[in-house]
Formats: sequence, structure tokens, C-alpha cells
Amino acid sequence: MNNPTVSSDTLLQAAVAAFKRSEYEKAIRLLTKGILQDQSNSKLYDCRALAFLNSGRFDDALSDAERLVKLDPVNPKGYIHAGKAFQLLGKTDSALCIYRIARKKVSKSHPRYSSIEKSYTELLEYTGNVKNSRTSISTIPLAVRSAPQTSLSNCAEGDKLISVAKRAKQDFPAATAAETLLSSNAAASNWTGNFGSYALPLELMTAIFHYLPMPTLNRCAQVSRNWRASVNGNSLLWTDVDLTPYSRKVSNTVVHAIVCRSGRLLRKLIVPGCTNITNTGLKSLLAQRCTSLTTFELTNNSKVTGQALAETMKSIGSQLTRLRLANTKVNDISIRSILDSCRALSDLDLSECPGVTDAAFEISLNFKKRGIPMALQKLQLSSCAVSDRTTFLLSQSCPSLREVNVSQCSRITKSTLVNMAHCSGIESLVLTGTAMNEPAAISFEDALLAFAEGCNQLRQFVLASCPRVSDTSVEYLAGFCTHLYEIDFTQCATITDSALRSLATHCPALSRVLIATCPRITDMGIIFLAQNAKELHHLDVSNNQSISDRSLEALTQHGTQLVTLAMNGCPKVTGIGIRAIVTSKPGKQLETLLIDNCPGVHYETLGILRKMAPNLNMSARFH
Amino acid sequence: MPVVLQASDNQQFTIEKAVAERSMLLKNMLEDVGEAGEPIPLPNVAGSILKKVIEYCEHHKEDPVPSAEEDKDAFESSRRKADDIDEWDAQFIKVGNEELFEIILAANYLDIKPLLDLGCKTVANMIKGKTPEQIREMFNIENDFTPEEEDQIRRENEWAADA
Repeated sequence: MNNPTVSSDTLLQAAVAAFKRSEYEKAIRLLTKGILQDQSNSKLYDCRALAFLNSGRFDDALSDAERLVKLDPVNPKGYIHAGKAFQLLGKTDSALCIYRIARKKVSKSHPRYSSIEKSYTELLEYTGNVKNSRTSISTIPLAVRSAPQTSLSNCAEGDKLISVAKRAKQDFPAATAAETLLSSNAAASNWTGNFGSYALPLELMTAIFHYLPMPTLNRCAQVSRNWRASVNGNSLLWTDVDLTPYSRKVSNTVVHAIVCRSGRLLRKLIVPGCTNITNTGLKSLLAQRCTSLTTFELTNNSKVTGQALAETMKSIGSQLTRLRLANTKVNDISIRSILDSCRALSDLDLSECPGVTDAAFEISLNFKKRGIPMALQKLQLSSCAVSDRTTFLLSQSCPSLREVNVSQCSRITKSTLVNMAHCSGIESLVLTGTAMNEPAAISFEDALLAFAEGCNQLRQFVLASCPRVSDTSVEYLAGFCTHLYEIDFTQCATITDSALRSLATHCPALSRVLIATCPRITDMGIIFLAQNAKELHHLDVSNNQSISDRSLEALTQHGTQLVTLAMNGCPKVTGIGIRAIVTSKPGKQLETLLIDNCPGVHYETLGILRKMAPNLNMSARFH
Repeated sequence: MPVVLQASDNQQFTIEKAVAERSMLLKNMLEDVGEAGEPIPLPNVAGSILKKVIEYCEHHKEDPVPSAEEDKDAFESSRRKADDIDEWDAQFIKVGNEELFEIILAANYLDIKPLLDLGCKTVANMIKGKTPEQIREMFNIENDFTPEEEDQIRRENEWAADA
């Protein structure tokens, strides 16, 4: 067991002593211990970054420098370490970028400011950027000396990178990104005119490239050697990677190439539906030690195994906050491991993962035993094999839980409502397709009362197609959860106007009301809603036989915020009501109007509406 | 108190202090030297370009000073949007390539961040949607890849070709 009495300051002193004796590994060990105790002490990161730099672990130095900058953005040391690390990694562009930002953030009167200027100047000179007369308008006086130290260390590091590149090439035949990094140095030395007769400094190239979407960036890499080096060699351009539009073409090789470009700085990797990604793709993340990763989305993938995911996240998932694995092969063992190693994880999507059961969440007992709260805030478990046991475990160990979706989980019952009553911060609960008839011993009203009483921060409640929902239960909900923003009681045949009355009376923020196919709802309910729910912007009353133009009239008059209205299959609605709401509603214009299968609305009316409101997104088909 | 700027070709421009202070370089200089009234030499900016830059600063002299917050953290690098250029700026920056690059370099030198951003966005918008060959043509860039390299690079980037 760690001895908690050793303070982080004592550890820092010991580490500095070790550092002075050039015992960097020891210093790193001591500092890591200190950081575990106190993550807000910037001195610990400062010192560890330096120790990492001295022991050749540039990637690690870089992440400590990043934390240092985040903790203390005006402290020059974070930038100095980051710049040095980038230089030693051969990423000159990124280093220049860092220095440039440091020159803005750090006060000019700071004693260390001059060393930023010096590094920046020397690096600019080293890249040969200043040779071109057009770029000599740089605002800083140029040092006459060259930078022998920098050049030397770059050479030494170059050798190392070459061997890394060669190794990578064996694993991935098409991998060349690491080699590109090397060529960036070579290209930079005879830098003349990256824009024809004009030579933009590297940081301006980067500034331009920052505005470009990924496909364009890829094309830029094909323009010339110089452009290629500036695009592929700058990690900062590749930190947030969303490959959604290319999902079908994304292979392990693509992932590898991108991860080589971003290196350790990769923060977001979004690869939904990329069915060609296998465990090999995850290995690239490991190889580049992408420990800055905060978001990883790998949905609809059947090739990556749960075990590989768990192993990857164990190594690099310490910063991970958002993990979306819907419709993948994860299982209980892998989820347990991920929850155990990714302590920052707040947003987890495991929808449609049939391998996930209650056993995955038993791990939360370990957290509880050790007194550590789980960071989970959002959890999607739609169509998983979980039961009330899971919601019980979560309610006991996740104090920050805000959103839970257990829709289509047939083993979730009324007990979950009672369990969730302990999560006072809950804002969204989605229960559609659960077994609200079980257990028979508790009435639905009582369960919902318990929940509503405990969770008065609730903003979204979704329980469609549930015959148990009654006017009384809605009244409980509305009475306690006065912040309600969205309710979805689609196909809850038992509710009447009285339910709408409670909601409209108690919930001033009510904005989205989905009550399609609730046959007992009448114009009276809608009129009351329109008059009282001032924030209403989305209303779905489709397939309600008794809704007529009177509802439309009230919505036209009072629904100033209403932008989306669905009235499919409402036979009593006519063109007069529709025309009024489209053309003469005060406040916001209607944006979406769905009136499929409304026989009372004539073809001619639709033609007129299309002319009068050309921007209205309208659907009015007959099936 | 007006400020006198002297371009590389000795052309002089007398402008309001508020206009000059759009440039962080000039702002710092003016703070350091006080109000000496001497012309400030700008040996790296030609008169024609300086005139254009002053036009921009004149138009934007009432703008609020951009806060340090906007200058994003070095590690904060999500893709930025290039299509939020206001109408006056769009008209202003409708210039030939040569002038555009001169303006960008001048804005960088004088440290006028909004103008630099405008220039960079404009170049980015020119690049968007173009093939590598079109980009080379537009900026007169030499293709220094060997045919083999070109072929390999094309294959590497095939996945993002036309999505």
C-alpha cells in the first residue's frame, strides 16, 4: 500500500534530487507518485516533462507539457517542453506552432520569455525558412548563430525514427507516414516558394490547412513534396479525426496512416460503420501510444474483438471520456476491464451489444468498496441483455449519472424506476420497450412517484407504447419534475387531456411533446397545451382521430416557438387550419410540417402552401 | 494624435492611432516609444499593400479587440470553419493571388490577427474542392514528385477521394 503521509511536495524534492544525479527513471517514478496524489500541481508535470525529455521519452514529455499548459497557460515552461519534444520528434511544424502560440500567451516580461523567442528564432532559421527574402519580414530579430544543438539532436532522432518507420513498414505494407515525417525535415531545408513564387512561413501554412476538411487535406498532401511534408508532418492537423463519410473505404491501413500523422496527439477518432477495421487497426493506436484519446467511436463493427478493445483501452484509455461501441462484439469481460481502466469515461454507448449483461456492471461494486465514484454520466444500453440489477448497481456507484437509455431491454421493469430514484442528477431516462408490467407487487404509479420524487432534475422522459402510463402517473411526474423538456408517450392509449393539463401547468420548459396515437387526447388538451406551454417547439399528435382545426387555431395563436408539427393521419384537420399555422403564426415560422394521410387537406392547398412557404419542409403523402 | 507609417517605397500614410492599433506590432511600438510623431518605417511592406491594409483597419477600427480566448490553445485544433466571412471582408479580399499573399504576409508581420485569418480563410476556400493538379496550377507550384511517388501517394489517399 502507498503511504499516504508522504506529501507531493516531499516527492517533488526527492525527484529533483534524483534528477540532479541524472537518475531520471527514479525521478519519473517519484513524480508519477506525486501526480497520483495531486493532479493540480503544475510543478510535478514540469519536472516530469523534463525528466522524460532527458530519458528520451518525448511522447510522454509532450503529454506532460500539454497538461502543464492546461493547468497554467501563461507559464512558458509547458510550451518550452512541448516545443522541445516536437523538435526532438522531428515535428518542426508543430514545434513552430507551439512557440508561436507561446509568444502570444506568455507575458513578454516573464524571465523565460526570451528562451521562447530564442528557440523560435533558431528553429525558423534551422528550417531555412528565413533564407527566402520574402519571408524575412518576420517580426523578430534573427540570431546570427545557427542552432547546432537542435540540428544534431534532430539527426540523432532521425535515425531512431527511420528504424521505427522500417519496423512499421513490416507490419503495414502501405505505411509511409513515419517516413514522411522524416522527409519533412529534408524538404524544409530547401524551402523556397511553397506557393509558387511566394513562401509562406510554416505556421501560416498550418493556419490555412486548419480550415480544410479532411478530403481536401489529403489532396493537399498530393500537391508537392513540400505540401506533403507540411500536411502529414504536422500532428496538430490530425488530432480530431472523423471518418464517418468514408466509412466503407476506411481500412486498417488508413487508420494506421492517420494515427502516424497525429501520433500521441490524437484526441478524437470517429470511425462508425467502418466494417473493415479489425484488431490490427487498434494496434496502431497502441503503437503510437495515443494516450490523449478522449473520444473513440467504433460502431457497427463485427471484426474488432472485445478483448482487443479492452487491452487497447487499458493501455491508452486513461483520458478517454466518450466511447461508443454500439453494435459491436464487446462482452461483459471487456466492458468490466474498460470501466476499470478508463476512469474518466463519462459517455458510454453499448446499444445493440447483445454480449453485454448485468455482469459487466458488477465491477461498480469494486469502485464502491474503494470509495471511488464512477465518472459515468451518459449510458446507452438499448437492446442489451441487462436487467434491473444493472440500474441498481449504477444507482449505487455513479453519482454523476445524467442520461440512461435502457429502451428495448425486456428485463428492465418497474424496479428500475425505483432504483433510478437514487440518482438525483438524472436528466434523461428512456424506457420504451421495457417490461413496465413487472413486478406485479408494485403499481406503476407508485414506482413513478418514487422516481419523480427522487429525480426532480429530469428533463427528458421517454416511455412510448406503455399501457401502464396513466393520467395519475403523468401528474406525479409533472408535479415533481418541473424542469421537463421532452416527454414521449407515443402510443400510450390510456392518457387523456388531463395528462397534458398537468404537464402544461407544472413544466414551463416543456418543449418537445410526442403524443402520437394517444386516442383519448382531444382538442381541449392541445388548446390547453398551446396556451400554457410557451416553449413548445416540437409537437407530434399524429394518428389522433379527434384532433381538428381547433387545435391548429390555438397553436397558430399561441405557439410562438413551435417549429416542428406532426399531424399525420388526423382526419379532422383541414386546409384552413394548416394554411393558418403556416402563414400567420406569430413568432417563429414553422420549419417542418408532417401531414401524411390527412384527407381533409386538399391537393390545391398543398400547392399554395409550397408557394407561400418555400422553405417549409413538408410531407403530405397518401399511403 | 495621428500616426505616420512609412512603407518600403518611402510612401507615407498618416492614420488615426485607433486605426494603427489594430496592428499589435504598431500598438506595442506606440506604447514603447510614446508619441514621438516620427514616421514608423515598415521596410517589409510595399506602399500599395500598406494602403490596402490601412483600408481594412479603417473599416474595422470600431471592432472589439479580439480576446485572448479566441486564440485557441495549441492543442485545441478541431477543424475551423472558413465560410463565415462577412460581406465587406469578402469584397475587400477579392484580389489577385500576388496581392493576397502580400496581404497575408503583411498581416502576419504587423500582427493583425483578423486580417491574417481572413487571408488564410480565403486561401483555404480557394483550395477547397480542387484536385492536386488544379491547386498546382492556381498557385504555380511545381510538381516535384516522381511518377512512382505520385502513384503511390494517390493510392494511399484513395479512400478519401470522392466521398
